[in-house]
Amino acid sequence: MDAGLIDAAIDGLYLVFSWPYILYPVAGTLLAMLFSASPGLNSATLMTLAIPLTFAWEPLPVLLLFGAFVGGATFMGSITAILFNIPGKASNSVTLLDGYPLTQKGQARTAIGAAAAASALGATLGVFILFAMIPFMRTAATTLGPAEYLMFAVWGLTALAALVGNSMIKGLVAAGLGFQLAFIGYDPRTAELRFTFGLDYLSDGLSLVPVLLGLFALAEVIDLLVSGRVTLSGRHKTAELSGRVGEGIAAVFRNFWLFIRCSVIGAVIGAIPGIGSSVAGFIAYGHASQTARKPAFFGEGDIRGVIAPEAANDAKDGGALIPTLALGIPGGTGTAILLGVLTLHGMTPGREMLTTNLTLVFVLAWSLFLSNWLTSLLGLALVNPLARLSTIKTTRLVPVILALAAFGAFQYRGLLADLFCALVFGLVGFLMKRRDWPRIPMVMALALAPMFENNLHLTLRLQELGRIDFWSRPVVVTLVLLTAVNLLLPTFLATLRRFREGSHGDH
Amino acid sequence: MGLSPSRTWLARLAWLFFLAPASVSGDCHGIENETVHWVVPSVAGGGYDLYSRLIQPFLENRLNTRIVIENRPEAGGLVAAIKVRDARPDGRTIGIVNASGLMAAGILPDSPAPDLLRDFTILARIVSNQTFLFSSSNAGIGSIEDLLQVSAQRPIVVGVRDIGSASFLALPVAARLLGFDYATVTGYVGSTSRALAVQRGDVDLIIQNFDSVSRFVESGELLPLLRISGQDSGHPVLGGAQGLATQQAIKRGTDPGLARQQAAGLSSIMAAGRIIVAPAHLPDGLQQCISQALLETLSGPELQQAAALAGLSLAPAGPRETLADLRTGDEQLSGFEPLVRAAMQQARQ
Repeated sequence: MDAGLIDAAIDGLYLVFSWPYILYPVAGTLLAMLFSASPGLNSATLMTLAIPLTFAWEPLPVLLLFGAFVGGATFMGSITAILFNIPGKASNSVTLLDGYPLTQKGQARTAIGAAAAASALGATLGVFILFAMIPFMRTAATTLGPAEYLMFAVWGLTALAALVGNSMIKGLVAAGLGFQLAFIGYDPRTAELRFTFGLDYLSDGLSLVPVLLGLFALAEVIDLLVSGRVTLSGRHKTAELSGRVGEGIAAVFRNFWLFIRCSVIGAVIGAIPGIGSSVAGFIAYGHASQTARKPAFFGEGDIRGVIAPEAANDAKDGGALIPTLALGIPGGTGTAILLGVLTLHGMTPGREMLTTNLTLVFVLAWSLFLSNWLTSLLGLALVNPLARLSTIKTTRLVPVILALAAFGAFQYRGLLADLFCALVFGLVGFLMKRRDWPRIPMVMALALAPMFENNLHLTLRLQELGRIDFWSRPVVVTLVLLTAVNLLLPTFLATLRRFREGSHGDH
Repeated sequence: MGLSPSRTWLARLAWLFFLAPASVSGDCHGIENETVHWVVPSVAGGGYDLYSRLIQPFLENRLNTRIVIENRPEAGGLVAAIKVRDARPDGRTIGIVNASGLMAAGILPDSPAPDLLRDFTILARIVSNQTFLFSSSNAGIGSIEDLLQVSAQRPIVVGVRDIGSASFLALPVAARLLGFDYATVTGYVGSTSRALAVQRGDVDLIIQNFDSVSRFVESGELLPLLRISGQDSGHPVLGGAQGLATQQAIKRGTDPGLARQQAAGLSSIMAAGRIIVAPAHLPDGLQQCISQALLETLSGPELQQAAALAGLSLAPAGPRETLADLRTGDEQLSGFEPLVRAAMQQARQ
């Protein structure tokens, strides 16, 4: 890091923590938390509402405020995912896979504690990766092309092998169905409509948020009603809940190497231009389940299934600033709006942003850092009252969860059809749960298939025209090797375990 | 609680004397204090969205309405256009469309794209497009002459979004006029991803509106080779690019008169620009009133200043001028359809 960079980082830090500027990220974080926790609202709503209100402001307070909006919203979505199976955003959807089963076991406090610690520490690592990447931002972002994106998708998809549950056949069928659902809408190459049955709603494909809300939240509500479960956790008093916040925080440090790997995965995925923000959590989760050494219970309440996506999701925000600031390519809705705000205030992403406006880049990054820590600390302060919700009778809770999920599905784009879509997938999810069909491979395939399909077409065409040589690209070869590790490691570890057990048995 | 018969009678009389003449004379009473939905064909933060959010507060003041921006980026903006087309023509739903994009999408067989001239009431144009052929500074193609030399060895590789996009429409026409062979790579969604594709060397050329890639052009990473649409704006980085209609750019042996006519036709389609529309059959009074408010807003010094800071071009035009330009483009479009359809067919194989 050169002296100019360090000076800019210190100047940025000083500005964020100086009076009265500190008020902006604090207020921004509180507003983002409030909006993320309110049914029917989210941080994107808050950001778009704030654009005209901040037209006349100087760039510094605008960056402080919007940095906090981006960082402050992520964690609150994780809390609803853990407690009620309702992801606040698509990127929180992975946390529910193990977070909600932990709530059902009475360990909501452990799950929230782990999520808060992984989230704050992951964000810290993401911001430091951003700092380290600043000198190489443009080169890194312009080196990666369709061949690399394709391999990122393949690498993510190979994690499916570990997520299929008890039956490989059922898992593969679910993943195939997810792939098929992802092909609904316009063909990215020929602009022809596929599988829309004449419905305009399907022309741009199925939206991930209503599908997730249906498959998990609504399916769970139906299951709660049918199963007659008295409370979410099976306990009636807070004193009967077994988990502790400290256990959750300690779990992050017990799995520190996993946390580091997943944070790096998040920051790297975030730094790849144009990749949706929900992908990072899925890939990190897949990686965690693939590489788990001790007996793993992913999907049934394994704390590593909370740590991995939370670390990746929050580290991703720092990484996502790289393509946003260096190239003007946002990684998700939050960074897209942030990009618009920068433009409206005369700050053009690109070389100028990374040279003359470097202090402002650091202001944004420190604001993101501060808001992530604030949300995690406030989340931890609220753990006990939040965990108490898991002891409330389901007869009282179900209507609330149902209303939250239904309103969330509708509000996402203001479309009644999204609500209908969530209801359909609610029934599908319920049937899958009852018949022991895994839902995770279906969702993961749905999330990764568009990236896979478009980049497969582009890579094949570029190879056909002689514009690229697939096997001569170092990042591609690295990702091919990682994919091979993903596929072979579980078999290798299982064989090793059997061999060890066998040799112990011999003695 | 209902009104008594005498009060109902008085209310009707009041409407007859005060409100009815106002609506006939064409003011905006119909939408005053109402919510107007402004449909945008891009995500929040995208180019169309930025224009919309810049215009929103100024237009709200002029019309005395509340404007709600609705982002409908699906299907490359077609869903947004369809939503405006299908709304009631009461002034409560308006939207921005990418006019040349809609024209291009209309050529696709069984296209659901609305017809610009038939399905909408044109309110105003925000800006017309300055479309260019861009290469990269490190691609070895620095001029049209270089392009033709490379084309003698191999097809020129051009990156486009999909075959229903405006750049795909322009490509076969420009290639025929200039006399080069090409191969397309489709699937680059977003102008920045196309700009990066040409910088990485995935493709030789892209066809792009200047506004959407201006930062890459200003930093010297993209080279403008040829202007397909729009007037010479005098921008220093665009000075070197000649227009497609110039005789020097056109292939030798082509009838110069016919070629210039075709180049002008393509220019009128590609320049069509970012247009604000309402559903067809909007009452004349409302149209005049909203158009007037839009033109005053777009020409106002505050908006001009804010747009300049954001690096967004503004060149507003009223409905009559916009409609005349669209008609010219539409007439030319039919002449290009066989060529474009053949190119689409080839790309799909």
